[in-house]
Amino acid sequence: MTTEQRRPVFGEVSLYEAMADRLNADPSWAGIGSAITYSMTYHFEEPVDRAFHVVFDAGRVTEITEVESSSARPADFVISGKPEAWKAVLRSETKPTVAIATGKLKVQGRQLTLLKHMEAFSYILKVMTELDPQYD
Amino acid sequence: MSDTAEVGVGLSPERVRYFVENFDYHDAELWTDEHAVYQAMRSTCPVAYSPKHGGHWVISKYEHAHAAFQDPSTFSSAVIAVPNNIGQQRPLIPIQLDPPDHTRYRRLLSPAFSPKQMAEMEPVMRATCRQLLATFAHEPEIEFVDRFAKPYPTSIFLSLLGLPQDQADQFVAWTNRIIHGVADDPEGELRAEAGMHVYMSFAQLIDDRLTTPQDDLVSMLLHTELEGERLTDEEVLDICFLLFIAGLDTVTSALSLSFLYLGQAPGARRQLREHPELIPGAVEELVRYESPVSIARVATRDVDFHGCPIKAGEPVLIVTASANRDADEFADPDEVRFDRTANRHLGYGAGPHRCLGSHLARLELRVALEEFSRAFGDYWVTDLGAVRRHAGPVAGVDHLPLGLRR
Repeated sequence: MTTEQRRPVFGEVSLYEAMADRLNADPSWAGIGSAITYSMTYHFEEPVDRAFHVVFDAGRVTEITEVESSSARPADFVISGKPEAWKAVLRSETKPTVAIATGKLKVQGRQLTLLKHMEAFSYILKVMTELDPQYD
Repeated sequence: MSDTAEVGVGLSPERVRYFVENFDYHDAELWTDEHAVYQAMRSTCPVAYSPKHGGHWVISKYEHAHAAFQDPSTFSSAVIAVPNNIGQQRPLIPIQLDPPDHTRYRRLLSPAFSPKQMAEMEPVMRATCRQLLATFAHEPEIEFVDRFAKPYPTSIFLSLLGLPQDQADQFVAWTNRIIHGVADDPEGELRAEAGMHVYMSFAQLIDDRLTTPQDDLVSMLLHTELEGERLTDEEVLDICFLLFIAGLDTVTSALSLSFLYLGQAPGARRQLREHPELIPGAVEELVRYESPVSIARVATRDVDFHGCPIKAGEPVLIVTASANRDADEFADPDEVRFDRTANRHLGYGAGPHRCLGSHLARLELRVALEEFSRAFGDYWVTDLGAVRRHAGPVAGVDHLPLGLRR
């Protein structure tokens, strides 16, 4: 896992590495995310078309892997969206809950679990908004 | 466009014609004189086309409304509002399903809402009502909607589902946003977000009840079998969302509109005080007279419906408030008669989707009228100019100042 200080890049693994660094050092997340022991695949649809598999263990990010497609590795949750939808969330133009509720970000996985932990999942996306990634 | 209207302002003939041709039940101006528009629609264009909200048909006569409700193979419930976003993430079970799927769920849910089952709730309901009335028993005037019409059905709903009463204010706020938030939320994002919060609340409740069942509706739904299978927690989630959408605001609106009428009708109030046996009939008649809920359908095929070429996929709005004032079905439809017989109103819809919660709603309304008559010697609208009504799929009242005398 990287700790270098350069800005992460939108749609690349560095974004998730920066997210992991931030979450793993965040005392608030240690509480909010303590029940999050799930694998999640984040999928940027065309034209970016890249997917990242992230494993959480009691909130701690333990693995980040770029995968060939959103279905390349089984995941508890797959979050997919067009690059514009992801950008709108990461730029805080759209709240994560709104993006999910309106289907701009689509979530596959057990709905009850997703909803029960929506606060934690939204927190992850909120942390990502603070990473100030490069978009080009 | 505002979604609140001043009462009794009236529409010019030109504006009536405009609304006949551009019907939009979200437009507050319509609600300043909606029955003038309905009358014009019934007599000149009983199946009208409106270009609003992407275009939809509008049915205003009783006979046509009844026929559409009875024909789910042509008029599907996949669409129930115009526009069709009420915060739901998936089709609402069972009202957005058509037979035979609808029938399957309805068989499961109907026993939970039977008259017998609802009657068992009456003591809780009456206690809730009395508790609320006691909070303003010595005040000379109240704002009826916030003090009674919203908290009363919300408290009963929370009891029914097994949710804590301290969530009542939050549920009222979510209801307002989802049901009445169209005018200032054209993209539907705020409604979707409110819907998400409602789903999140139910998800927590369902998770609790999966491990620790209680004597409540959610536990019953989770542990009852349907054709040898249990409902999935996702199905229970969707049913809870429907009960929330269908159960709270509708009763709030029916109560507010009923008290708006009664608050201006001293003779009717006296009748109910002196003859409480009239109250069940009064509940039916007030639901007919005010009919707060209008519901949509979507055409499943191209159909010539009373001379109008409705195409497959086009939404069709059934304006029950108009159908229930149709003189071809009701004698003196604009009069309130508590002893009206053969009151086959469409206030609870008709056909396979007839309101599942109608017995609950009836009981809530009856108990409210009985307890108000018992607690107060009289009540009346103190300032008609201050009354504000709102538009939308569930029409109602935002502000109703009511004077009280013990």
